[in-house]
Amino acid sequence: MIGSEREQSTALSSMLDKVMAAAHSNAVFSAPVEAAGHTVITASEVTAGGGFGYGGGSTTQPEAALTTRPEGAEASAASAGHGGGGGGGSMGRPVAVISISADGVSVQPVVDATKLALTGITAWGAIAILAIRMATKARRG
Amino acid sequence: VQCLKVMLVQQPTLRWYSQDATPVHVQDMRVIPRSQVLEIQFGAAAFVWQRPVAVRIEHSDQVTETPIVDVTRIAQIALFALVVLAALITSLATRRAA
Repeated sequence: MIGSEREQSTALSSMLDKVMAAAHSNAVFSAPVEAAGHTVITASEVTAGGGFGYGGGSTTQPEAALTTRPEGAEASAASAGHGGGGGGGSMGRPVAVISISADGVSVQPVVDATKLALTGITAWGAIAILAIRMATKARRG
Repeated sequence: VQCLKVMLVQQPTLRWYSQDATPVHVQDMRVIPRSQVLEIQFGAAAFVWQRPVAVRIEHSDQVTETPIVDVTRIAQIALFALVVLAALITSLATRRAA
């Protein structure tokens, strides 16, 4: 649990630093790896996001409420509280592989088959729904 | 604490820029990968999107640039366009039939 404002400030700075690290070029291009006369660098798309919020408040009980309190009850003139929370996430997807050799530089794309399959299923599902609607309307008309 | 308060009251920022990564030297070639960055900061919230765009090759006074094509993204956009087209055709056909 986050307590003081100093801790909140530190947590916020740390989280924003982590999000902003995705803007560094090292986040997209890997360190070069040498193998069999080729130097290989992977290129990825990186997305990161995060947010943080906090708030506080205090209440002061009216004096009348304090004077009419039942016997034995503790007097609490004021109460205060504050809290905070945050969250974030990041995602990376390989886009291409850059291969450098004495013959030259080649950029080979990386195809994300899972993502494409999911998009394809969604697209064909949407088209199927449209076709069914059209057929139903034509039958009614 | 002052730093936190300054962060929370500062104006929202939106930055869109290109940046070069650390050059890689292979024999007499100098390869510089380039990326594009979108940065959005709103108070205590931030969003960053970065994608590779090209590779700049410097080889004996010759400079060439090879684009990095995101095949997955292009295919996704094509499929989305196909659905939009199908929706338009369906809408037009239904109106004509009515």
